[in-house]
Amino acid sequence: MIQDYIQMVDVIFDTDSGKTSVWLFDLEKFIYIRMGSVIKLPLKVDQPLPTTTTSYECLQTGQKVIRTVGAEVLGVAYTGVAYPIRENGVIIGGIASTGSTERENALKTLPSLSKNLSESLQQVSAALENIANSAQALSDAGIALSVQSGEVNDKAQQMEEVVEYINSVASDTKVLGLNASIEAARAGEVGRGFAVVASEIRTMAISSANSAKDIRKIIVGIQGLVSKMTVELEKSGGHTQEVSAAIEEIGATIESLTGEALQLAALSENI
Amino acid sequence: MDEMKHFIQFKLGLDDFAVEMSCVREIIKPVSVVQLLGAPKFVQGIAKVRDGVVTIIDLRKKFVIAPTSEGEPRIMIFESSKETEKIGMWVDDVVDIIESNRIEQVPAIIHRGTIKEIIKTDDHIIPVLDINQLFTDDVITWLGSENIELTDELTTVQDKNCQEEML
Repeated sequence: MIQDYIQMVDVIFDTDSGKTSVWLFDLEKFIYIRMGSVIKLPLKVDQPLPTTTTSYECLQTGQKVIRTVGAEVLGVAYTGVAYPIRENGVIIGGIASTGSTERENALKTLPSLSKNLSESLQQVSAALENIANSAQALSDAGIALSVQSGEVNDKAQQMEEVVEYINSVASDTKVLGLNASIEAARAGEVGRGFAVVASEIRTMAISSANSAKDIRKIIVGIQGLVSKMTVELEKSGGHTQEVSAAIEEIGATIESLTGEALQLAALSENI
Repeated sequence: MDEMKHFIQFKLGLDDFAVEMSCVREIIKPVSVVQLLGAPKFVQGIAKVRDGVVTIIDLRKKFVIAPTSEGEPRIMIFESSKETEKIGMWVDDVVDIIESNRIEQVPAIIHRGTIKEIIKTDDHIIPVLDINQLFTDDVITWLGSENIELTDELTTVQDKNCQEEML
């Protein structure tokens, strides 16, 4: 009796957690149908077997029939399998099932996918290392710049000392010129020529002093710029540190991702 | 046109003054000054200049002129007939030598004749100190007296208040 095989339908159906559709048929019609969650075919109990089905074909040929149906029919690719059932050598009906081939395909692609994932993660890791090196170089350059701006400041300081000296020479010269003028005036008519020289010396001293004053203003300007630069450098140093910290975090994440990708690859091999 | 005369323009505080150049013996940078006990406030003290001793006076103290850090302080040493009577005057800056014939006379009552005349320049006027007059006995006595200082006036007012309270 074909009805004796109903339980087998349930066994197969439950084995695949209800994903696969399984049904039993006699020589003319469907007897028992468990429709799975993935492939849903419009089959009904007591419905005569359509001639296009694997069920019909296996009854005709007396052989098992396997047919793969593309995704264009039901939106999902599936494989239909039908077996004839014999009793005492005579075909009394058959059992058939359909299973999605998506999983099959997925399992085929999974190893290569997880391998790709691993490789990509390695590339990201390498790129990240480059970024980390660059950030380090940036930080080093910032420190070097800080040191150099300090040196510029020192040089400006030295320059100021020189200017201070020039200024004191100019100031002495002015006194000298004044006294020379006084002496020239005392000499009367004969000192007239010398008075001109003394006056020139005074003029020169005054213009030297003015130049020294201008240079000092420039030095103060340089020092102001250097101190601004130092502030900016400190800011940029802070940012570089933040970048370094972020890179470190990303690195840790990538590392754990790489481990997971490896586990995935190992798992996919075992399925 | 009057004859051209030479003056040395200098500063006491921020104010400009001048002296006739012929009065000035020399100009020196500030030197260390030895204080004289019992001397009036306007006498800074005495200083060794070359081989002589010069009395340094500071007119700012007398005329309540605020000192300034602008300019280069100098001591202007005046001509003197007697070697021991050399006087140097502290100034806040020696500006320049000016040549002028635009001179204006001033009434003799001003500062007991310590201002000799006034130079008119293009944009302002500069009083010329009469050095010979400035260091005569009666002017020195007047400089040394306390009667024109602002602090004295305050003291007087306070004294008055004290007296009123006592009454």
